Amino acid sequence: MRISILMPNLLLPNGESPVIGGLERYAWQLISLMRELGYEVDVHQFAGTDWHRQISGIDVYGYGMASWSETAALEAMHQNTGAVLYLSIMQAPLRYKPRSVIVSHGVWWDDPASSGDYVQRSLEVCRQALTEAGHVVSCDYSFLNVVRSFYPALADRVTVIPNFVDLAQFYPSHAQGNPLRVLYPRRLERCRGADMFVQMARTLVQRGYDHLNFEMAVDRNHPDRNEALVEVTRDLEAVLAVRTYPFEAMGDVYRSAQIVVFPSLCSEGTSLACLEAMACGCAVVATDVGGLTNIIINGYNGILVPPRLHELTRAVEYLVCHPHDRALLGERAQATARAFDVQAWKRRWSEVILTVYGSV
Amino acid sequence: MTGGRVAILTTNHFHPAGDRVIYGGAEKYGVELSRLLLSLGFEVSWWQIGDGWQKEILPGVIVRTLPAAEAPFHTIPQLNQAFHERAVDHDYFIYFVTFLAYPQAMEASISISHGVYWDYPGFDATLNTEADRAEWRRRLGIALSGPIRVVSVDTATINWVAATFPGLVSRFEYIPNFVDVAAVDATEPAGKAPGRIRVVYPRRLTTVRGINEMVRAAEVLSGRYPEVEFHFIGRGHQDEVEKDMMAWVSRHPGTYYYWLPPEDVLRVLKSADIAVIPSKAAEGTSLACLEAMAAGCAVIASWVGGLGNLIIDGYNGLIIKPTVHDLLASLERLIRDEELRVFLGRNARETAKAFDLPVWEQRWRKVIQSVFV
Amino acid sequence: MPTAFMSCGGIKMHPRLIAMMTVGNERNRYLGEVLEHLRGFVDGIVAIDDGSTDGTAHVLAHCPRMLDVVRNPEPVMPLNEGLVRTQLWTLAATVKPAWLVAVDADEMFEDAVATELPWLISHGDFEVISFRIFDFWQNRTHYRVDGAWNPWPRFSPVAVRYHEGRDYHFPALEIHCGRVPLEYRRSPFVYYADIRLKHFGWANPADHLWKYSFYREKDIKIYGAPTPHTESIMAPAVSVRLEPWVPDRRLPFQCSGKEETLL
Repeated sequence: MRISILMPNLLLPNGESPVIGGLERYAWQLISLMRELGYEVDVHQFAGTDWHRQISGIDVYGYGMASWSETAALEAMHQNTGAVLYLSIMQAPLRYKPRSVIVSHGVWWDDPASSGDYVQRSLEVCRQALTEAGHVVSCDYSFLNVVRSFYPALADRVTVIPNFVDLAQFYPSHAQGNPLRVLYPRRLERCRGADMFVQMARTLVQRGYDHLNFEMAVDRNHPDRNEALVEVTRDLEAVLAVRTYPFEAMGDVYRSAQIVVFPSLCSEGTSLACLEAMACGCAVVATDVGGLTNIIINGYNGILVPPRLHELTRAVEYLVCHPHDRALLGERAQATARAFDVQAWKRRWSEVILTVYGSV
Repeated sequence: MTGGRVAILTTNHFHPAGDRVIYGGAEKYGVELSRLLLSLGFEVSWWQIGDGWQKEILPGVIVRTLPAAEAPFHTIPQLNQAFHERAVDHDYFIYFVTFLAYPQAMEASISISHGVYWDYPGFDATLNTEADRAEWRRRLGIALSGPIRVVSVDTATINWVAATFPGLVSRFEYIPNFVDVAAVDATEPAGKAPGRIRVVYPRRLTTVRGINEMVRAAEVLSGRYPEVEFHFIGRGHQDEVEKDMMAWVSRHPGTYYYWLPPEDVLRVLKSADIAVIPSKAAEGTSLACLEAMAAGCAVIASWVGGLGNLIIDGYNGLIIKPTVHDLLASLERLIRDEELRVFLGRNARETAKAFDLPVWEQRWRKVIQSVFV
Repeated sequence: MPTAFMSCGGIKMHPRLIAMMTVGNERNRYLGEVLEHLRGFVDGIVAIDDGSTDGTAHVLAHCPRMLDVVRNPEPVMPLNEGLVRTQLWTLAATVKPAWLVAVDADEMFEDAVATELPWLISHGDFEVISFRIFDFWQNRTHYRVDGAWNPWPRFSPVAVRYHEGRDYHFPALEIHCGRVPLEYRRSPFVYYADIRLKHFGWANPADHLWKYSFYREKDIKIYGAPTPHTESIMAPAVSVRLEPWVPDRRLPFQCSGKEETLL
């Protein structure tokens, strides 16, 4: 039996190279699980032109019409496929195929700058997804709770499967870094709070913490943004580095840091990067946004702060000054991360897939 | 801290006729908050709906009453108005429930959210039309915008606000509920015969708390596992429910029904192996869940509201969808797997320390000192 | 006065919990059983013997926990209940107990009371403990639930914390004064107990007619006509609704470590 995965972008719109990001990693993990279960899998995505690629033995189809109408592209995907799985809730208007699964990666419209109309539209998009597809897998409880608060009767259609971490790749090291490294391991999106991280670093430097080393491990999807970031952090260049890494190197990147910061403003699920940093035994400071609050218990396995610069700075400063607590939080983060082992994630997903799509 | 007078507005800390203390998590919260304010040098008074009586709930802490008859759209503007007229001689203000700050809020004020309470299907029927629901949301939005800080016991509420009134979250402060770890540690466990596994449901017998699912699960499992005891500890909202529950346990071996003063529930929790918090809606960072954790129980909690702030599935408890199916599966898993039970219980005890009363006090102190200046 | 103090390990102290009751010709009813039941959990008992002529005094005198009995030469209760209630309260107050439980000579709690009540009063922050009262009807297996007989919706204050030096009052009524002073009935510090109080005053059908006559007469005198509740005593069997008594299943949680009674 074949399941087609419908998603915005597994490859870049030109089909040339893979997109780097959590959604794409989620897709690959799911693809490999489905194949283990014996399903055939292909991927249909938005694109600039029509194309067909094979990557790691998977057929990937780009739909060029997405450049002028995502709805039309989705319609075409529906015509070319049987059983489908939507890798995210689609923003474009569409009719979901019945008896399909949609993956929710968390609330996306909680940006403080969102207009009331946008909020209403997003809620309607959720309502429609829940009503039509029948099964929504959410990566956090936060999305589910928001859905229940608006549509109590639809909440039972949601199954929560928290995100995963591969413990074989992400494990702790016992080396104590000197200077102390504070890491930002996220994409350069406004909602991820990169500017707050820079501001925090600047404040700590001004306060005279000269043994600190800041690193921003960012994505390569928008080279222009990376250049701009280097430009605005010129004053910090002695202590703050902007780098990009292949995913395979991220384990070492986390292990080289003692404090890892997730300063998201909004649009957050159970972040893969956060789980990976935890699995590497780092002390985590995260904002109390979305699904981050389902993996961090403030003061137990990390620090949760409101998405405000002052509080974020205070928390990082606290960890800088308290090596014992830093180590303790890191240890517990590592212990809790085990509950998110990718094997457990696969077991839960297998149940959903077998229930919805039937056995091969 | 220089002190000053703090007026706290609540709905019905005491029964409006003044004849009955309503025990529960929110009331415990109120007492600890009063104690904290007193320790910081403030004078504290409580204001609530009532017909003119006064009660002293702690030395020097008086509950006064205000008239209010109607609660349109889940707000009580009459109470809010009366409070604003009568409590003007105070310096600082706390709205103990968020909607009480509608339509107006005093300048130096804080409000408290105890969790989302509108996420059950029946809520829809309390506001019949889309226009009514919009009006309720509008009022709630106004109530949330007034106070300088809104303290929320869970992040589910903050996430809801972020997804509803995106700009408003900036005034929120997440302070999860507390458990007095020292008190739990000092509590003597109730007796238990050797070889038995004790499962406790320490909540009210109401639909939103998942009583129906729990009763069904106990019905199935009590036949299957004679060594397991199911304890239902809590009152019903209707007398009939208590009567039916007494009759039900008399028909099912291994099941027990009773209730106890809150501090005594702890004794049973300390003797228990498994605690079940299968809420279907209207849940914050449940005190019962925290107490069960501190008591070292393996907790089975639903993924509703703030419970996902306390439990990490498979680490310090199990998180389930509050259905009979999931409840049966998770209970059976824990009944059979002692090692897992012990692992979860031990981690629950450890995590509970992150919610210890002194930690809560410290977090609250920070908010109080930033607003009451 | 010496009876007011209990000996406890050589130290004289005020009793923690005493029972108080008025009795009138109870010897052949439930008195012996009730005293035996009370002995299981109270530190002492005080009683007003309201003009008994049937040997009740003898039963009281031989009850080991009896602290004090005041005897009225003639029955006062049928004429002025308020007076006797006040008399009993005054008697109990001389003992200065921490807590009082006010029961009638035909009432018994569920067995759990023996462990629960001493525990509750020793550390609760309430001053009244209220109970549901079940009127057993015609037998000791069923209780009555129609109309005002229904025990489920109502809790009655039965156990109260005694505060020395406070003023207490009973209403000046001939009947239905309530078993504890008025002051307790507006207390916000109430604990609603799940233990049930069993009332056997109607368990013997032979008692119905004389009790009915007594209340009917009182009703006519006070209200001008019998109340519907009084009339319901003689209601035809078809309109009497009964429920079978279901034994409690609770955790005897105070018996730490040596609990054998669970199944």
